[in-house]
Amino acid sequence: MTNFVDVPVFDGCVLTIQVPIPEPLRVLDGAVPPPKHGVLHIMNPKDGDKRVVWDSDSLAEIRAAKEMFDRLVKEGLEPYRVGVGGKASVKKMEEFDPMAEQVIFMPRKLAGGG
Amino acid sequence: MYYIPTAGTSTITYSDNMSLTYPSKGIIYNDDNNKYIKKIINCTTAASSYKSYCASCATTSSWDDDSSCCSRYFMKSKDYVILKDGWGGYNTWPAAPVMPPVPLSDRFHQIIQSRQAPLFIPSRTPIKAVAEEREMRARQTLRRILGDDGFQRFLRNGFVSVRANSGKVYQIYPGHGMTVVYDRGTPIEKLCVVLRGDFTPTDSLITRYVMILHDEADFRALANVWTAPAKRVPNFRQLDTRPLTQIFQSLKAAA
Repeated sequence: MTNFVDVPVFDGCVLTIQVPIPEPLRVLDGAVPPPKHGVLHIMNPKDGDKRVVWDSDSLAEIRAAKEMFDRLVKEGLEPYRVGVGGKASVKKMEEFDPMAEQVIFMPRKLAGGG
Repeated sequence: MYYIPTAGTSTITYSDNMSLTYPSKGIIYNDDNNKYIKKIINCTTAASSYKSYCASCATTSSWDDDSSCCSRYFMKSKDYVILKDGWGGYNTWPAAPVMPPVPLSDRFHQIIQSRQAPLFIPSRTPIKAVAEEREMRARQTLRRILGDDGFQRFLRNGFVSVRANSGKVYQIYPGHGMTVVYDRGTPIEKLCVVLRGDFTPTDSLITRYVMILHDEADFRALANVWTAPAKRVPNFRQLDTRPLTQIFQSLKAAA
């Protein structure tokens, strides 16, 4: 069974498209990712924070993670590398970094003045 | 319904033509159970003779017109209730529980304890536990971002504080709560940025956290800007600031 993440296309999240999660990658079930694993957080209103993990020691998983990263960027999501453990650092990613611990894909197009 | 007899009233006649005589200064009201209650403020004698129990000696005694027990009975509390039940009987008991006097040592101990407690009473709203899976997942992500200590602070305070590159501190609340901007401890403005769609409160907080740390000017440009909130006056407890020896002397004199 192929996993998907829903990615909002327009404001208001009425329309979403499904981006497949490549085969070696998996959705994180537990609270903490395993050691030497990076996490892609894809936020959407339907699933909340969907977390896809890759093993930074596995070339196949890195390739799949990069493929997914590029696809999500193409769909308009903005990737940010976020420091963990209270580092309070955020950097926008121009390209995929397999050593990134945590990448949050923000639905930037959904944010606005309330 | 309340009847407040004037000072000096001695006889009160109830609606069923039964009457009781009290010296003065009572408050009578008819409660929901159609019982007549008299709250005696000060009583030294009572005309009616009926059974009551003595609060001081905890024995049942007859309360007579000029009973010495009566005066002893009201000596301390001076605030008792007389209830006429549905069968024409009368009972009396203290309007408030009669508490045993607190020993001087215990009172002094309480004063010392209260001095050790923080003076400031915070009015913050802790984050409540939820069962929704999406929100739980978002909180797990936030915990990973903030670290254990930061996440505990978030749960306790109900917001996340982050210092941006400009040095300003942003107080971010979950959900649609406004982000309060502080400059050197002074609130300068409130920014309202929301995520459209049914995002969980903590996902919304994470998004704003990321946006602020990445580019706070962009965040502000996106936001509806409101004037700075008035600086909250800290809620301080009232504390007796006299020296403990002085307090002890006054307590001892009053005992």
